Amino acid sequence: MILPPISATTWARLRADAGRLTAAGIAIVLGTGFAAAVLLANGVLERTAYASVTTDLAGADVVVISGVDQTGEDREIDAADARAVADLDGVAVSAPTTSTYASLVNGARSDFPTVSDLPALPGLRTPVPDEGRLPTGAGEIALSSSVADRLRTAVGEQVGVELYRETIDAAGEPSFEVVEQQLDVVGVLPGGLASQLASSGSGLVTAETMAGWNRVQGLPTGPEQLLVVADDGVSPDELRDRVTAVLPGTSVLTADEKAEETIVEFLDGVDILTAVALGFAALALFVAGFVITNTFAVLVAQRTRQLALLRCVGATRGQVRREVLGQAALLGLLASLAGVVLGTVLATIAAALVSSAQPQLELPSVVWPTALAVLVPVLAGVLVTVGAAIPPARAATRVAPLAALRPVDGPDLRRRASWLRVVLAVGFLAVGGVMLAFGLALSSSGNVYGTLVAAAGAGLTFVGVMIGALFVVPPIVSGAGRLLARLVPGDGGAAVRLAAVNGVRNPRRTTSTAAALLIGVTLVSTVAVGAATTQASLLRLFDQEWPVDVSVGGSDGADYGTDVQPELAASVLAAASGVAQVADSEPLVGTRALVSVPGQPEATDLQVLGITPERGRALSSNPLVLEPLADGTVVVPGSLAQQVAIQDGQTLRLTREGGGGIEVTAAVTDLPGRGLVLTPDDLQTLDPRAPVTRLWIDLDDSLATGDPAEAVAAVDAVRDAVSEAGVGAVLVEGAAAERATFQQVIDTLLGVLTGLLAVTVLIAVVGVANTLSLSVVERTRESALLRALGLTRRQLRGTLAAEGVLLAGAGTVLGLALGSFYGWLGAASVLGAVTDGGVLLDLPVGRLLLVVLGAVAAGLLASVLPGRRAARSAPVAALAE
Amino acid sequence: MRTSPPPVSPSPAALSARGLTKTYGRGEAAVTALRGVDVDIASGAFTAVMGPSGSGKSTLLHCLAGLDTVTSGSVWLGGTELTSLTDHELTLLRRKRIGFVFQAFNLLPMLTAEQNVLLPLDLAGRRSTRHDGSDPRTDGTLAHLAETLGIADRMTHRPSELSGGQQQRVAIARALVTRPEVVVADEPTGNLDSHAGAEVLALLRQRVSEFGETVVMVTHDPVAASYADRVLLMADGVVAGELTSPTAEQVLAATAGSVVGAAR
Repeated sequence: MILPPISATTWARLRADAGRLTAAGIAIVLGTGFAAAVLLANGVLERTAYASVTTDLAGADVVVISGVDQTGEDREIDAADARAVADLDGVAVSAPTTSTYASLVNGARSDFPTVSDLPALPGLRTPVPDEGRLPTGAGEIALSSSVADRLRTAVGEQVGVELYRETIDAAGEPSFEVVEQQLDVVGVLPGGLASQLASSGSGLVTAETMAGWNRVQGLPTGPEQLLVVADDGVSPDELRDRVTAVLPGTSVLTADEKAEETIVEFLDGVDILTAVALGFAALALFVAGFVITNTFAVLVAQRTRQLALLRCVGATRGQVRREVLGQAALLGLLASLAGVVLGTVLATIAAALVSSAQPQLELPSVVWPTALAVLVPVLAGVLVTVGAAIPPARAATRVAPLAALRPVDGPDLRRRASWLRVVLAVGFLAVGGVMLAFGLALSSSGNVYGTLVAAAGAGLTFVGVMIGALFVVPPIVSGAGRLLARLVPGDGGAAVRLAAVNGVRNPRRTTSTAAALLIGVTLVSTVAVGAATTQASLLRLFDQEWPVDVSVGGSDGADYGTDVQPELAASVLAAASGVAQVADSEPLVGTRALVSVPGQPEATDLQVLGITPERGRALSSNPLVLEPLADGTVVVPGSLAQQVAIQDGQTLRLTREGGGGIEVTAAVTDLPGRGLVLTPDDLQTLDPRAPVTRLWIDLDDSLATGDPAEAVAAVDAVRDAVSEAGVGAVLVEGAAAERATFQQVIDTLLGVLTGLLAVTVLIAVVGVANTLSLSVVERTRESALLRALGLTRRQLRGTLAAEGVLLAGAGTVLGLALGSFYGWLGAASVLGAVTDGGVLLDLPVGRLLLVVLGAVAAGLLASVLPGRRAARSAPVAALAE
Repeated sequence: MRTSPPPVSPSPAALSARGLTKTYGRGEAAVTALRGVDVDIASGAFTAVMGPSGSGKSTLLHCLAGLDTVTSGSVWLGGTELTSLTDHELTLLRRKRIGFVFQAFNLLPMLTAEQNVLLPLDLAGRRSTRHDGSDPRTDGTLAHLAETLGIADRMTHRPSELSGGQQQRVAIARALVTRPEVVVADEPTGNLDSHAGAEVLALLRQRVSEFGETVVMVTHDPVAASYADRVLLMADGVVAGELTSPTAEQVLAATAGSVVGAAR
């Protein structure tokens, strides 16, 4: 598109219309600022990632790693290679190093960090310990602070390393033997992004230690890579070429090449995130387009006479169009540049916030705009502004020269509903609906493409809704207005009635204002409902697999074995139930029994637990699974029932070798695991000396929704308490930590998506304010007439407030309804295969109500300034001609 | 509080002004539109205010009707002193006690004729009535009004579907529906052709003669003024003269040259 020329008169017009263009300008600034911030953040992340990976290479200019030589043989590096490189001209340091994942243990705790044998040589940037020193002898290790924390160890203490030795037995079957060696912790190293990229943490040992580990495990003992530092004046590329010449077959990379190779996966992730965030920025700009179209439509309508006069004195249609588009282009350019400034400031603030929380990341203190972060938002902003101004510009060209001579007519209220619009709206809805249904059917039958088809269908129905909004939004606004008018007492009702009428006088403007909000709110509520539904459905899966928060003394998990479980010592029970985070606990008696099922020749040996119905229901995450428990009834886990062919309601006979027996009725429930559950009385009848074999623990409820680290800590605390009670190994299991982590992942995702969409919603709210203030300007004389006839200032402000609430409310309520529907369908199609059909629609009512309240408040707020301006003018001033 | 004495007038005055002064702007840019006007608008009579552009006739009307603030002086509507009222009190007073007919843009485009007529009552609330407690929607006076104004069959139409004369008649119905103490008309025929204008004026005349309404009208048209019982002649912000039941020729003579032909 060729941009229209920007002339001096365009500048003048822009200045004259500045007030009316403010909202449109703000909308563009927000949208382009968002895009600029995203692009800048992407750049900062990439550069930081590069920097930290090169840090991990300890300042080496070139890295040599094993490769494949010309004959196709593996070309390993050895000490001779290191010496050969060291002797090369221009090489300052040549350091052979190896890094590996090591399984470190300290009591019940374990971690799996990368450990390397980077030597402390002059010229290499070996990490400087925060505490203690670097390892100097065999059996010494320095750990990064995060690893030391996880292992609860410190300088001067010991940790174990588990090495796996493969042995081949007589039959030729390989088996693994675990060899544990003790290491002295001699230093604590600073943590860093690089180590987080590589794994969960890092550690340093000497080359001697590393070689020892490799010997035990039967691995090559040579170095994994050579870190080569160049002499001053030798470029990395030059050095690479020299090294390649002496070590053919190896892979020689400069630090930058190595960094790129290492972080390519990370950067792919960053790029995907950037693409998603840019998608949201595009959406924000799209919504800004609605605000711009509205603005220019009003400007053109108000300038009808002036434009007609221009035509009268000889301006062509093209000149009129260029005049309007020129103004739009200039507005778009100025607002986009302001947006880039805003985005840069935001990115700098974000970088400062992140570095104050994570100082080791070494983010820049000032983020400078890059060419990309300037060009893309400015281009997008100008294109959107000009594009959005095209329909009003076309309207401007249709102004007849004679219009200058006619009195200004009232707006034409009766707009014929275009048949094309009806057909398009219905068509999109129908096709989208069919695809949606088809996609859902596909995904419930386990087809992974079902979700894609359903998503495309949902998108089409949304397009249908947007096209058809013109038929829906105005009636909603006026209907809701009339309803609201009945609820408002006294002469406030008149103000709301006027608002209801005003809401439909310009259906297109009303619709596009509400539609802008509709887009944002639909997406926000789709995300909210989708997340809540996914969460509810998957948490139910968790609860089905894990009956209690923490279980001591045996696994209740679905895969637990049938071994005899030992009695739990009283000291263990006391220690576990005494942990601070434990809200409630109950010991269960347990035994084994031979279970005879009617019609089956052989009895099955199964484990039986005893707990009272009240306590069982109190501790269980899913009380329903123990609902039928009573004297004379045995609760049978669903999976077990399937396996052993036990039917609900069958009479089972439970006997013990050498003694007791009891007949009970089977109640099959979703109880997880493989243990039958009886009441303690029935269990006593079966086995009078049944010991306590299990402790069920209910953790503090706040842990389920709080920081997962606390839930992890709570489970660890139980584990520590049990191991300190010191009666051999006791199994402690609990899904509390996993459950909380999972919940946090979804909550974080929800928060991020909502935050990204917030910009879109904000722009839409600016659009509501824009429409209201343009209406005020447009209705100056009408407001004056009403004031003369007895409309009070309060009523006039009330009219605008009601209009704001009705506009915002219509968009929000429609958006919530649509979004809830989409969110639920989305979760249903994604989870269809996972949860065998049962997707719990979970409406996060609190959150959705918050959205409605926010919209009403935003509508009210948006009306404040226009209302004040409208009420300020004296009735006579506006009537005077 | 102003201390002007209540007006002492021979006939019961619907509207009175004493020492009315109105200045726009400040300092050198200040324009004085009214210079101490004393006037009484008789109840049950049709009063016209005439004068050339800038004579202050519209300003006088706006001040009398509580649409504009005054710089000094006092305005009385019945027993109420308008200049001491707050904006809110003035608004309620206009709503209940004064009827308005303007030159143009009299009606709200999105309301039907009937809704426009009932607007002053509706502004007070859905179930509001006139100040005497009667309700035109139920006591038949709305229908009667529409009938006598010749708009009974246009009441469900919107303004864009009405002719200029019909729109003005709807505006008159609106001005009368609350049974106001005074109807204020600002150039009511300014935008109409002579035939429609004559109809509107005849209707106003009829309301005064047959129903005893009080009408005060600003006009620059001698023919329009000739419908009035009394014509006040404004010049340079003061009432410069008056005529009683004049003919158009008499009005024309009184304002010779200064009004006729002047752009409004």
